[in-house]
Amino acid sequence: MSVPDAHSADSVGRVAAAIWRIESAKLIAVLARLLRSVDLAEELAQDAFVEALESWRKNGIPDNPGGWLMTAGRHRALDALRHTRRAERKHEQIERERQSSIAADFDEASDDVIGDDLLRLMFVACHPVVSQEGRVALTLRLLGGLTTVEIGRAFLVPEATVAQRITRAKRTLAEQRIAYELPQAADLPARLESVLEVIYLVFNEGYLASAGDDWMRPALCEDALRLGRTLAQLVPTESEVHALLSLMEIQASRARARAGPDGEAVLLLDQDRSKWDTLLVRRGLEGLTRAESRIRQGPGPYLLQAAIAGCHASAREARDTDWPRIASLYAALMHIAPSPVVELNRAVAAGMAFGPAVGLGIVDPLLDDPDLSDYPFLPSVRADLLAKLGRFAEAKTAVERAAALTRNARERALFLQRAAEYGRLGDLPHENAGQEAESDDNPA
Amino acid sequence: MRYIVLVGHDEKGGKAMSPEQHQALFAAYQKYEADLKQAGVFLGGEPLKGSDQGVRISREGGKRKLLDGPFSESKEIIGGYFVLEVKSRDEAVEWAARCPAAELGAWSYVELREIQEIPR
Repeated sequence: MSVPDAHSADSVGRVAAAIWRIESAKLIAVLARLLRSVDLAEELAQDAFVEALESWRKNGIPDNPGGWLMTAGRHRALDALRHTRRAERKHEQIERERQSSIAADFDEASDDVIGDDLLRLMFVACHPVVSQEGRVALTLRLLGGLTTVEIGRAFLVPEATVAQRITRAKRTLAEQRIAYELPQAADLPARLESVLEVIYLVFNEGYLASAGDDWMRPALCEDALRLGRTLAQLVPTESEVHALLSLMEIQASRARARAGPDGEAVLLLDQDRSKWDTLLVRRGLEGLTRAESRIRQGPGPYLLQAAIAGCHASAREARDTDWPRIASLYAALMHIAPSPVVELNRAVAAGMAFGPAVGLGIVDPLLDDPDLSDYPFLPSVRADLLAKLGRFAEAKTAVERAAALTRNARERALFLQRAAEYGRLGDLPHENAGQEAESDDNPA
Repeated sequence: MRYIVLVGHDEKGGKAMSPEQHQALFAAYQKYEADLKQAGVFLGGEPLKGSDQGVRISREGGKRKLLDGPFSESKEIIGGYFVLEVKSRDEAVEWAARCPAAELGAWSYVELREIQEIPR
C-alpha cells in the first residue's frame, strides 16, 4: 500500500495525504456498511485512493477531491458487489435487491447516516473481543487515517508487528462473526467503555512519551484528541464521552509546562501556569460542564478524573488549589474504580488538604499492597509526608527506596537529591530545621 | 498545528441576498461546522456582528483616535472565524476551501492563517 504521509515530497502526494486524513474514516465506514466487511471496505478504500493518486498526478487535483475519492470508492464497492452476485447465482435475487438499496444508500448518504457509519466503525474497531493492541492499531488505522508505518513509529514497534496486529484483529472480528452494527442498548455502556479506553490509551502513549523523541509519539495526543472530539460529536448525550475529552484537553493544555529546559519532568505544582494552553483549558472546563450536566446514575470514572484535572486547571496558582475537593473526588473515584494508585493520589490530596499526618495515615496501609511494591512514587510520597512531619531519617530511607526503584535516571537523581537534603535536615537541631532549610546559603 | 479560517466578504454582497439565500447560507455554515466537529478538527469559531457596530482604534500624533464603523473605505471585512487543529497545511487548506464563504463568488472569500505559537 502506498498511502503517502503528510511529509511526501511532491505536492499532489501531500494534498492526497491530507484528503486521505479527512476522508478515509468516512469512506471506510460507508463502504463497510455496504459491504458488511471492514476488511474489504479498507482494501477498496485504499484502492480508490491509489486510483485517485494516479489520476491526480496525471490530470491535476480536482475541485472537490473528497467527493472524487468517495465516488471512486463507491464504484469499487458496486463492482465488488456485482462480482459477488455473479459468483453466487443462487443469491441473485437477494443481491439485486441489496445492490439497488446500496445505490440508494450511496445517493442518499446523509450526514446522519455517515455519522452512524463512523460510530459503527469505531465500535467495531474497539470491540472487546479484539486484543488491546489490536484495538489500538485498528482504530488508528481505520479512524485516525494513520499508516502502518506511522503507527509503528508512534508505538516504537516494527511496521511488520503493527501489520500483524491489524491482520490478527481483523481475523478475530471475522471469526467471532462480529456484526457490523451499533451495539444494543444493553451492551452500550460496556462497548462505549472499550472505545473510551482505546482513545485514552492512545492519548497516554503520546502524553507519557519522554521529550525529545520522534515527533510521532507526541502526535498521538493529537490523534486521540481528534478521536475524542469526533466521538463527542457522534454521541453527544454521554457524560463519559465529554468527560474523557475534557480530561485529555486539560492534560494536553499543560504540555508546554511539563518539561524543563533540559527535558526534565516538571511536577504539576511546580509548573509555570502561564505556559498552559488557555484555549485547551477553556475547552476542557466547558467539556467538564457538559459532562456534568449529562450524568445519569452518578459520575463515571472519567468525569471524576476530569473534575480533578479541572480543579488544578482552575487554580491560578498552585497554592489556590482546592485540595479538600480533590481529596473528596479521589475518594469518590476509589468508590467506583478502586486502585492503589488512586488511593495514593488521595493520600497526596488529603495530605495537602488536612495535613501530612492524615496523608500518612492513608499511605501506610498501601505499603503492603503487592501492586505498589515496585512503584517508586509510593515511597516518594511517603517521604514527602514524613519530612513535613519532621521525621527526616525515615523520609531519607523512603526516598532512597524510591531512587532504587525508578528506572529513569533523571528521576533517580532528583530522588537522591531529596535524600541528601533530608539527611542534612535530620542532622540539624529540630526546632531550627525549618528555618535552616529556608536560609541555607552556607556551602558547608 | 492550529489555523484560523477568516471569513471575509463584502457586506454589500450579503445584503443583496434574498431571505431564502440567507437561509441556505446559514444552513451551509451549520453543516460546515458539524463537519469540522465530526472530523475532530474544530477548536472554536464564531460569527461576528456587522462592521457598522465595530470600531477601529489607533493612536495618531499622541492622541487616541476612534473610528466608528462601517468602514466605508474597505470593501471587505471579517465576518467570522473558525479555529482548526490539523496535521498539515494541506489539510487546513482543504478544510478552508470547504467553508461556504469560499464558494459564494467574488464578493466573499476565506483567508487561512496559521496561528503562531509563542515560545514562552
